[in-house]
Amino acid sequence: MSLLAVFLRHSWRYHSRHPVLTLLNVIGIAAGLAVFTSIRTINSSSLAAFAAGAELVTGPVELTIRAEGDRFDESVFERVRAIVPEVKLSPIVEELSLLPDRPGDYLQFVGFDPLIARDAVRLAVPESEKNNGSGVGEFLINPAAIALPPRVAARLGVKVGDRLAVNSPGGVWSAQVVAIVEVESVGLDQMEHVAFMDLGALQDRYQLTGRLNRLDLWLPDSADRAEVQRRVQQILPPNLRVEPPDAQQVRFEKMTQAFRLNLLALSLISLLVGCFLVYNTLTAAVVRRRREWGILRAIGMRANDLQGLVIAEAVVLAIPSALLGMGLGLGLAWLLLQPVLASLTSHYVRIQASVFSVQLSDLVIAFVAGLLTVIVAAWRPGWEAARLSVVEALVPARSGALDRQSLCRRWGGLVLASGLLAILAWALLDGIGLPWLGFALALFALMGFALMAPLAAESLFRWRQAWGPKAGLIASMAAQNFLRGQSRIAVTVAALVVALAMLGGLSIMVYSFRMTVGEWISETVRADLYVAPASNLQFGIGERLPLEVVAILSNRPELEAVNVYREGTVELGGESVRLAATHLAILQERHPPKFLTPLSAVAEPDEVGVWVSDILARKRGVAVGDRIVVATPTGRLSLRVQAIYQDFSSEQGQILMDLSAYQRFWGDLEIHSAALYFRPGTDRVKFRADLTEQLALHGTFAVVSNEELRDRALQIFDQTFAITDVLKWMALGIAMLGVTISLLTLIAERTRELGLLRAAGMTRRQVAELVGREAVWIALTASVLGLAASFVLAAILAFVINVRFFGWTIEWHVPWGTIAFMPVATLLAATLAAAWPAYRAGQLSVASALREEE
Amino acid sequence: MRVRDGLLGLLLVPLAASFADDGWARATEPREWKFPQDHGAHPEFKTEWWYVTGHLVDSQKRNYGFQVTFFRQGMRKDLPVNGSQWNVRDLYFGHFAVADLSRRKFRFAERMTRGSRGQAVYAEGDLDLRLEDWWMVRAGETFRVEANGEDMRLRVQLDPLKPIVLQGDRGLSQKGIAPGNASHYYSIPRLRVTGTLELAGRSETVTGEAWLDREFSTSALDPGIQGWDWFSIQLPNQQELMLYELRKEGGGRGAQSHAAWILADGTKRELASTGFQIEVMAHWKNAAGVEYPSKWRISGKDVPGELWVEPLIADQELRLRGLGDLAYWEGACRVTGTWEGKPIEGRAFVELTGYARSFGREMQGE
Repeated sequence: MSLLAVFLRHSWRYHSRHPVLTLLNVIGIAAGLAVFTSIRTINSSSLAAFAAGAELVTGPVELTIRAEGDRFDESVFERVRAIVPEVKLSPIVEELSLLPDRPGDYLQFVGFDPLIARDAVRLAVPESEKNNGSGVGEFLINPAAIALPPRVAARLGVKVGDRLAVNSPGGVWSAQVVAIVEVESVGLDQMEHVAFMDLGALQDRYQLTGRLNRLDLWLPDSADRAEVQRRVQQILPPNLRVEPPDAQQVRFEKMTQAFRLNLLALSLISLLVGCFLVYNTLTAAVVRRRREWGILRAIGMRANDLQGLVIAEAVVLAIPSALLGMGLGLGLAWLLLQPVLASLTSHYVRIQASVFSVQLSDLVIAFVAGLLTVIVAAWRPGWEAARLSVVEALVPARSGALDRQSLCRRWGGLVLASGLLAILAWALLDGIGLPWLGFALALFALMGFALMAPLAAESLFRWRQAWGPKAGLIASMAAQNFLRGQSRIAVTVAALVVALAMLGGLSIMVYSFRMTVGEWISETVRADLYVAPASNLQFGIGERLPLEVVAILSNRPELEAVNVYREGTVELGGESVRLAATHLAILQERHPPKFLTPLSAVAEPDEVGVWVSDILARKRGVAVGDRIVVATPTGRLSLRVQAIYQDFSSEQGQILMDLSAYQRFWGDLEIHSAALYFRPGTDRVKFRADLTEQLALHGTFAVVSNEELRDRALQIFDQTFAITDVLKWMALGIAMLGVTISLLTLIAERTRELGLLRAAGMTRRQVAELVGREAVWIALTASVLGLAASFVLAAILAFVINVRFFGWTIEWHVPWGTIAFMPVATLLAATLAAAWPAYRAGQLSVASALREEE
Repeated sequence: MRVRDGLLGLLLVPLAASFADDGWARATEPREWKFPQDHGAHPEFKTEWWYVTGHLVDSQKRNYGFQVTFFRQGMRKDLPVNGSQWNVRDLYFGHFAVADLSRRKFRFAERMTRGSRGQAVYAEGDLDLRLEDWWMVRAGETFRVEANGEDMRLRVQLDPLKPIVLQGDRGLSQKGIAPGNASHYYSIPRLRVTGTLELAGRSETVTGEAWLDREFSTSALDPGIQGWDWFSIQLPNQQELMLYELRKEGGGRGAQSHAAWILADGTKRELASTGFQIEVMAHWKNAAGVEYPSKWRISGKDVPGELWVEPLIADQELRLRGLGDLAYWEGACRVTGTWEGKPIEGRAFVELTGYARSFGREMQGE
């Protein structure tokens, strides 16, 4: 029989005799990997979802013309046609609309010309649904005609000939389904809300006459794309860009990079906790199976081979764990995808599609990451097994093979190394400004705390001896055991420290963030009522406020002032930033934003004075008095920065401009929302009911109070961090699994010792108490370190990663309740985790425990 | 099974005469023709076309047939006031085909647009048609035409050799029994063609003769008409013959089938429906198995002889995408036979519609 076969048999026997331990181990790795897999899948899916929305009805589009995040004047059509007559131009206008009969549901209308796009989009009518009012001809001339992709028609339960009530600025209209759309577009199959209208009908229905969202260019085979792009760009007004359709994707990826990397980094913490756990179990296994190693060495196996075999065994065990983890991960991703897409929509751009994209590459990476984690974790135990001398191995072990002094010294070195690396990361971060170094800083700091576990345990022990009340026999034994078992327990404590640091650190950071944003919101949202198209509140910015609604608001005598907002984006130095236009004078009089600088700097006659958000100022290095140049439909416009204000509404940064200047240079009168200020003595409730009724004639509008708007804003905030919550609790769960495994292995190692104790008269209860008390020691040590690490991690997250990576400046607030709850929860959880091991220890039969271990 | 909605099919294949009074003008009586004004568009009518067909020869004596057609199909008479420029009133489309007879290759191309934002402009009051990058204009007595496709381009000048012929009764061509089921119809039966033809990258100077047909109407055909066979024949003795036969669904000849014989001096003789007959002598099948007639014998008591008409190449079928799929056959033919007692050879163009409504669907599978 080969050595390998012998090894495998031993391995199998060991694991089959310790099924609970093996199972916990498998679950531990799987859980860590599940988090990692789910985040990778969520990240891929969000990109795919955006791509699906962006690719819609493009056909063989090689270039597309857009205004940065905005609509533009369609006269560009003739100008482009004149310069590149050989290129087919497909104009597209889009609008989102609620379905009043189906609360919460909406349609994303794509207005297009089926004559131009006829090679890519087919309008068809199923034979059984043919009637007079169906087909292409009807689509072209019936202003109520719409066409639906099969998936959308099926979802809404409508067929050709049916009608749907749809909102519009002019009120609810009855859309008539006249055809089914067959289009070769990767994204369309995924889109649940898209519907098609004739370009002209959509423009008229939604008051968008003369406006386009984009102009797609279909190049003939012979055309040189770069040349066409160059020629077209030359004649475009500066606010328009002609670029390949995937440029949009690239920008989206760049824009959301921080968001995605943040999630990935958090998921890596789960993997790290999992790694500790594997290390822990394997070390225990190595110690327990030292006789086995001794025999293998005695019959001629070389040390290196032995290490290889230990690692191989770990890998074999890791494969089912990894598969389980990947499966769980996909499930988790499926559950968490919607909140993440909603967050991306709230913070960046609206994602129209819902795509659950399982990438083979993600699965492979997750699998490899799982195996690597296990190999890394198994390396050291394997090495320990290999370096045992045959004699050493064959002599029954005293538990705790390593002496405490060397352990502390070795770990102390690692703490030092981690600290140095953290300082290095910090220095590099400052010097070369690579934002992701913030994550390295956090990681090294975390590692440092984790590695302080033996030191902390020892200090705590000494402190207890010096200052604590006189301990009873069991308590003393537990303390001694805890200290003696450091070579094993330290890793469990470290895992718990990491998990607790993540829990505490994220809690502090999120709380600080929420408090800061909450304060900002309550300062910003101070008008008495806000009016906006209902879909804007539900799906982010989308529809406009019809001008007749603005007129109604302006004419209400109960109002002392009405301010309106026009939101858009503008290109600044190749990237898009938010541009909000409003009546600055009203804003300043009613509730100015929180200025971080005094209002100063007078604009030159040819300039427009603007206020910029702090995040924009920081990211672009803009100061008061600086000039920034943006592209408008009428040419480049020079803006003079008059003040910097605090803002949490846009990660890209925001420019605030007076509405009159905006309308002058952009030439559009679109309004997205209005803020209303009552005259003193107005009956608010009555006014609101009255206004709501009046506006209902013109469409579906949300009339909300400032409290409701604040709540909604905080809801969006909370939604963003929902996934963070899941991640931190997952990490803690994995760490608790570690406590159970750790205690189980300790008991297994000390079976003989516990047997002796029982033989010497200790009761089952006392044995269980002994184990329980050790768990309390673990929890205490981990809590002390974890709390300290929480604050450090929170500080790094709040003041380094948030600032460098996302650009937010947040104020320090500590959720003392949560912090106080942490050690209590840890103690409870550790006790719970110890329940099974304690019970097992209590159940040991004296006789079998005293038999020598196998 | 899904069937494509053939909008073009509505145009070229029988249009039921069941239109309500929807504001479009009707061809109920002969109109007062004014030229050049009437060369221009008549948007008050629903359907209108400018049809140029002809035979060309290049400097190497290679022969070609060609067709350039500009269509306008009214979709709705009135548009919302101050509405979107993209609202559809008319569809503008064009067909262009070249039969390279010596290489036996047939090419065709099409344009179709709602015309918005300058994609198509058909002027009223004079001939000035712009359809994307195709156009047809009048300059003095001359017409100029340009059309192009993927590997072909035709740019020619057309000089009338004969005066305008008003078809039917002073240009009112009755196509159905019901009053108003008629079109305003005139032809210039012979024009001299000079210009250039580019095919697959080679440019040739070409000369030849063409036929111009102009027709506008709102509702022409009676219900139950499946299609028509139309012939324009040019004889070497400067005489021309125009004939069409309406085909009923399920077979048989529509009562309004009609012919006109144009003498060398331009005078026109009407041939009554009973005075001529067109017999199909052979057939051709396209790749999808649709059968077209492919050889005809024209004779009858009002016809001064017997003419045999035969395609110069069999496949001159335009398989168009349009909005739905549509196919019809329009091709250059040779004419042989006897005329006024003498053997004669001439040229013709033949149009065959309503044989393959959904031809393109089958072709998609290829």
